[in-house]
Amino acid sequence: MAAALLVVVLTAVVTIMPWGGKSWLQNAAAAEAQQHARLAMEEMVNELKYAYRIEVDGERQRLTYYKKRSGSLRRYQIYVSGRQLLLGLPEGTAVPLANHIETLFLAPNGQLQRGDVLSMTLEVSIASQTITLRSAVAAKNIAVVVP
Amino acid sequence: MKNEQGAALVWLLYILLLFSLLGASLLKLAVINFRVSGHLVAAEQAQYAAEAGIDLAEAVLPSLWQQNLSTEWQYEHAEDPAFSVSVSWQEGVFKIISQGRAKHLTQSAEVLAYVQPVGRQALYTNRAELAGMEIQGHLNAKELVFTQGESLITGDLRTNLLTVEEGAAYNCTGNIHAVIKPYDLNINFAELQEKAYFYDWHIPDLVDGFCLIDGLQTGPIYAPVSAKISLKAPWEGLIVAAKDVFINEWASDSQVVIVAAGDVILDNAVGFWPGSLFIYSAGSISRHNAARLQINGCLLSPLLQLQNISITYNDLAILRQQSAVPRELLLADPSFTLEWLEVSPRR
Repeated sequence: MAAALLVVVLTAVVTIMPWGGKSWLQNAAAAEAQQHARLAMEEMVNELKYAYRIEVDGERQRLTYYKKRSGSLRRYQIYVSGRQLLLGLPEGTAVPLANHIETLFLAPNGQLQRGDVLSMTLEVSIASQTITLRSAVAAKNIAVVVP
Repeated sequence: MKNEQGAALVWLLYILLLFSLLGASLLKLAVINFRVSGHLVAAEQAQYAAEAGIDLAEAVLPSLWQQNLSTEWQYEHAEDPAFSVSVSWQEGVFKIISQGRAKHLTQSAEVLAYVQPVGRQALYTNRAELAGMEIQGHLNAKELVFTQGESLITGDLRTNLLTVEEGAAYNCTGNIHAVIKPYDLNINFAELQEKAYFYDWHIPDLVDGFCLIDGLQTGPIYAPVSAKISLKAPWEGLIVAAKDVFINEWASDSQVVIVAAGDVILDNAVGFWPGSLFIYSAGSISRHNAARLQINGCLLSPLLQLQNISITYNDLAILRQQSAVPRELLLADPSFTLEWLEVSPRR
């Protein structure tokens, strides 16, 4: 009886194991892609939330924005280079925000006005698993003229 | 063979144990994910609670501006997501600090609120007669007449009655409202005169029956008769005149507030005047000149008759003279510009 049950269990395990393993790998890749996308989006929203000026170049997948540091406005950039999403700092160096980026879609194009909402769509792909994440940010300090 | 009986059961139990361990690991992973999600949700809730505190504080700013500025305002919202918010007056600006709490997480938001005593209105009047004006800022006039030339308003236009005479035109880039803020400014000049004498304000010498103000005096200045302003050097301060004021010359980067019981006449004012000029007149403010005058400031009077002025809203002069100017001017139509500070800048 036990032998028969063992055969049934082993048959089930042998049948399911490869499929389960493949599925696990796919899920792991999807989860990693999701993490990259979420991290990149969270960083972008956080960076842009306090910007005083934002210029969008959708064609080149590039955002130029200005934040206050030590009392004066400094220029930052977020852009896609290869499959990396990079943040260009005022000092001229760049730090990676996320990897495995396929595309970054930005709207609207041009310089944002007060009340404009910047919508961002990020496509991240790992091992044929593609994740698309959308978010939007309304920068709070756009067009704020500080005495 | 007999001794090997039950081996299958052992294998089966072994496999079941492995599956149980795998299941337990997956369950633990799911629990961790659930906690992470809960943490993210709580962080968002706390952030929005903090921002709700800022919104509440923004709503009470006008009443705080009317009261004693040294008083600190605080509010505590105890229900989860909770927030506590405080407003204090620091170095000419309101500072709002709000803390939001959700579950065990706290998020902060800080905002500086800059006051604009006349709500970004470059021209604030009961009746305006304008010709060839360029206005950067809002225009608020119960009656508005464009008499000649083309006028441009880069801002909002509020008026009850708009007339465009033949040969005149206007262009407004902002919104046009039929609802106005009624012009109801009345300055008590008797009180101002008492204040001037009590605090020993400077009274300029009389030249040809006029008080001559050349920027070499220290302010505030009180002119008991009509005054002529011809600044020879950059000057910052308040000028109160019991009668008319003629403004003829300007020194770059001056910051001047003029409060006149009579009319203010800008007929001889020409060119670009960098700095900040705030004028209140209980009578009228007028300029009739074909040459252009470019100023930064605000003009407030029951009647404005202006020609060829480019004016950009600027309230620096009145804000610098807060302690001396009549309180009514600071409460004309206050609005606030909010600057959100990055509490924990990452870069």
